Amino acid sequence: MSVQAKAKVRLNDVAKKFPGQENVTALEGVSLEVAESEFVSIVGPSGCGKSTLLRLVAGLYEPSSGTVEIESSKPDRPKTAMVFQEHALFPWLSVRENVMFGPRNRNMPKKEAAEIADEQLARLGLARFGDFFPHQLSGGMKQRVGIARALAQDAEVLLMDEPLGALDAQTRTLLQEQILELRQQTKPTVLYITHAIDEAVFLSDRIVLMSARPGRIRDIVQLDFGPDRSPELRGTSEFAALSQDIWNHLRDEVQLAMAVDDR
Amino acid sequence: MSPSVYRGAQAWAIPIVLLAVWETSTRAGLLDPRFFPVLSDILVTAVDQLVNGRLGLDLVLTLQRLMMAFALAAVLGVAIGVASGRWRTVELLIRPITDTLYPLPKIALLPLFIIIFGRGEGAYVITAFATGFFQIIISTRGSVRDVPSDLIEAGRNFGATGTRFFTRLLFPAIAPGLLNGLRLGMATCLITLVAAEFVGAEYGLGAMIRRAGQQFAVEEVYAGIVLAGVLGLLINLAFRLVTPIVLPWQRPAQRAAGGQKV
Ligand SMILES: Nc1ncnc2c1ncn2[C@@H]1O[C@H](COP(=O)(O)OP(=O)(O)OP(=O)(O)O)[C@@H](O)[C@H]1O
Ligand SMILES: [Mg+2]
Repeated sequence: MSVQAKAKVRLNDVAKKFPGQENVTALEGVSLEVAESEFVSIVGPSGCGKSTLLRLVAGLYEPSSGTVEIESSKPDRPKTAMVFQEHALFPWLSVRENVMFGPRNRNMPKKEAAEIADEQLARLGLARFGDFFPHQLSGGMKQRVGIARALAQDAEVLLMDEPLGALDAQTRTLLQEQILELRQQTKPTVLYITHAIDEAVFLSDRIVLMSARPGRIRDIVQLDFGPDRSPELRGTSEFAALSQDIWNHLRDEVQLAMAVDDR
Repeated sequence: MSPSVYRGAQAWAIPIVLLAVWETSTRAGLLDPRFFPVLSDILVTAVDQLVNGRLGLDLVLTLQRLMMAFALAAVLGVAIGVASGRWRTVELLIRPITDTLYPLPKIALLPLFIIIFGRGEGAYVITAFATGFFQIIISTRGSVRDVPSDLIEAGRNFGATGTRFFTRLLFPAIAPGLLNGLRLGMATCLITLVAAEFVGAEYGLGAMIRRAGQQFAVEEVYAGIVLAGVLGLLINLAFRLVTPIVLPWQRPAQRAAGGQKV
């Protein structure tokens, strides 16, 4: 990360409570800045508010207190594009139409939107599946369509909620490399949620470690591999040491989260 | 046999066997013809009444009332159902009304409607309308609530806001449930309409069945029942025809599964 780059996303002392019988406080005192073209991963125990954080940035939820700001570079550019944890594809649209959905809502002509969609589908190895409907695809393919749909938006900030969570190990490894390539080619600003620590280390400039509920930022780990790292990074001892180090940080929180859930 | 022909044969097998049993057993005199006339005689009576008698007029009037009642129920029911599925305030406002009036047999309102609207068409149309209306509100509201919140969030994140939220997200998402609700709504309109005609009207299928019954014209009674049944069947067939056209994304599923039910 270049330190002088200006902040693209700014979370200022954000809290999110869900009123109800349980009165869940999902997030508390979260402050975070994400610089332009920075890739920030968020890891933390299940239920600590990672998806909630992403929805706050997307404007789908209003914070209970604090502020969320996104810096716009062009007035008509969408602020965020989200890859959902459970794909959330529109079942009534073909794969291509799913990817065209965002551009079409911005009144882009059909032909142009279809070209963009086909380009993104090809990037994710789905060139042949444009006319299929989502229910005709495997889980991993659906997840990739979800990624293509978000990429087609060319948004200020890409929000990815465990995009590779449902994939088998090999597809996941391959897609990690494709996301890395994407980083290098288009330099998006990314907030990326994952459960896989090695994935976070492999892709990110910074990793945000979150505590068990109520979710707070416990630690932020800076990685200095730069965007031009190669897939061989995975084999280095530095990579292994970092992953182990992060797991040591996180282990207590995961145990705590499970103890809370058990009560 | 191709799978679709085979499935068509399956669907018609039991009705055809039942009709054949009826025809042969009445012809053979196994059943009392005063109560169970020969099937083909019923059909001959039906055709004769349609061509020479009043039955044609009865049928046309029933159809006309049904269409008016259903069209009104569909438009208002879907609009109110969507609004109350979507906005909590609307739901809170109309819930007491739907909870009270939905289970109320609308036929009980007919005398009131006759007092208000007179013995014209209005009273029968409104009574039939009231049945379908509440049914459609409730099924539409349910469909709207069942749309996964993920899909709604994806719609909003990808720019389906304002009227586009409804045209590009909500209506496509609820379309399968909506169609099913409309089909049931139309069927219940028919049920109440025939009953209302039976109780009060001068013309209409229900009125025709009552007239025939008062004259102990058993074959005509059966002819009326058969026609009412055929109307119901046509409603279901029409919706079954329209469904794959309106919901094309469900068809490839069946194709991919080799014509099997999926
Ligand atoms: N719409 C909502 N209404 C009420 N409570 C909610 C809502 N969304 C999330 N929560 C609660 O907030 C907490 C955090 O949920 P969230 O989905 O953000 O967790 P997460 O970190 O993404 O978990 P996972 O890793 O399992 O996906 C949970 O306790 C959840 O029950
Ligand atoms: Mg989550």
